[in-house]
Amino acid sequence: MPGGTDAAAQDEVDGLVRRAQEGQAAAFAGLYELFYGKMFRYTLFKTGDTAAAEDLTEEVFLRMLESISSFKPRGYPFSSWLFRIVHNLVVDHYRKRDRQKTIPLDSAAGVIESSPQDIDAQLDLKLSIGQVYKAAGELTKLQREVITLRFAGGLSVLETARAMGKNENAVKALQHAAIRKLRSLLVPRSEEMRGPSSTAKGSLV
Amino acid sequence: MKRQRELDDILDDCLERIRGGERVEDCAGRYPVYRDELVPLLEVAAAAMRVASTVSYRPEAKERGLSRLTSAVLQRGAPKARRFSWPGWRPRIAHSLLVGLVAALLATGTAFGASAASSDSVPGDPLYWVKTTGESISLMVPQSDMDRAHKHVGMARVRGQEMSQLMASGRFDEAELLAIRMRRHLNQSAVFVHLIMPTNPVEMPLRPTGRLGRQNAVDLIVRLERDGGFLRARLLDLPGRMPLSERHRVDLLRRRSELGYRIFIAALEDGSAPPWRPFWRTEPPRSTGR
Repeated sequence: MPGGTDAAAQDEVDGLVRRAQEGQAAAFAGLYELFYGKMFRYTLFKTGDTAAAEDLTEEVFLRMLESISSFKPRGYPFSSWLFRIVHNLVVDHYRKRDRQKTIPLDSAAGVIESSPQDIDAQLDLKLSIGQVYKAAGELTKLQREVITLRFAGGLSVLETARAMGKNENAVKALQHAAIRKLRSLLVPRSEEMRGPSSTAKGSLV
Repeated sequence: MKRQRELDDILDDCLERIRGGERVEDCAGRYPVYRDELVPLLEVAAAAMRVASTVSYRPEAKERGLSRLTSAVLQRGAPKARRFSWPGWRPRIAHSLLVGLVAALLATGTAFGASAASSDSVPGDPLYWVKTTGESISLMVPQSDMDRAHKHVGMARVRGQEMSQLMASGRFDEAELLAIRMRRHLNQSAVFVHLIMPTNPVEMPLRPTGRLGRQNAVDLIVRLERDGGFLRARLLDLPGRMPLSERHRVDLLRRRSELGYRIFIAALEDGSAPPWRPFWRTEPPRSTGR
C-alpha cells in the first residue's frame, strides 16, 4: 500500500468500517489485521519502548471498538481517525509517565526480523534505527509528528494532514523541513562512524 | 516562496515514488533543475523509510491484542443476545426457581404448549429459555453415560440448527457464540464416551483403548455422520441467498463445525483407520506384559 491507501484498499477499509459499525466481529479483526503493524511502528517511534508500544497498540483497538459508531467518513479517512486516537494515547502515556526517559530503541532491535547469519547487517540496522530515532528527537514536535505518521505509520500526505488537523501544503512544508534537518543531523554522524573510507556523498545505509 | 512550495511538492512526489519502489536517482532525474538539492534529501528520507519498514512486531503480542479485542467485541455484543436470558440478579436463586417451576410444569403437562412452541426458538426469542431449561432438566435425569453422550450430540444438532437460523437472518456474532456452544456439546459427549477432546483443533483427541463398545461407537458415529451432514447441507445452502461480504463468514463457521464433527467421528472409529485419516494420540497400554 504505497503512499498510504490506494482506492481499492480504501474501499476495503470503508467496507470493514461499515461492517464494524454494524457490530460484526470479523470486521474488527480485519481492521486489526490491516492497521496493527502501522500502529505498532508509530507507537514504537513515539515511545522508543517495545513494551509500551505493544500496550498502546493493543489499547488503540479497544478505543476504536468503543467509539467506532461515532466515526463518520464524509471524506475523512479512517486511518487519520485511528491515528488521532493513537496520538492521544501516546500523549496520555507521556503524561502518566511524566515524560520519563525512554529506552533508546535498543529493545526495538530485538523485534527486527533477521536471520542469525545476518549479524553484521543487523548491527548496521540497529545503529541506523538508533540514529533515526535520536535525530527525530531533535525535530520540532510538528516535524516529528509528520515524519512518524509518514514513515512509520505509512500515511499519505492527505491522511497525515487530516490526522494532524492541518492542510496538505503545511504538511509538505513540515516534511521538507524535517528531512532537511534529519539530513544535517544524520549524515555527518554516519560518515563519522563509517570512517575515512566512506564516500564524500555520505549515502545512508 | 514559489520555489520552496514547488520543492515541497516535488519532494513529496518523489517520496511516494520511492515508497512504490523507484530509485532515488531515477526520481531525482525527473526534476533536473532540483536534482542536486533533491538527491541528499531523498537519500536520507529513503534511509529513514527503510529503517521504519524493518521494525516488526512480536507475533505473540499481536495475537494477544487480537484475542483481547475479540473478547471485548463479543462481550459488547452479548447483552443483545442475552436479552431474555436469566435475570441478572441472584442468578442462582432465579435459576433454581425456574428449573423447579419448569420441572413442575413439565411434570403436569401444562407446559407442553410452551415447550413445543419453544422448539424453534433461537437466542433472543422470548421462549428460548424454556428450550434451554428443558435441555438442562433432561440432563439431570439419571441415565447411562452413553445416553448422556447421545443427549449432548442432540443438543449440538439443535445448536447447529439455531446457528444456521441466526446466520440466515444476518446475526453472525450470535451464530459464532452458538458454534462455540455446539463444539462444547460435542466435547461433552466425547467425555461421556471416555474420549478427551483437545481445545487445539490441530491436535487429535486422546483415545483410551477398549473402553467403548463397538456397537456404541457405531451408533454414535451414525448419528454424528447424519447430524454433521445435515448441518453441512444447511450451511452450504445459505450463502446463495447472502451478500458476498457475508459468505466467507458462513464458510468459516461451516468448516469449523464440520471439523468438530469429523474429529469426533475419526476418534470414535476403529484404530485400523486407513492412512489418509488424521492422526490421533493413543494412550499407551498400561502394562505391556513384556
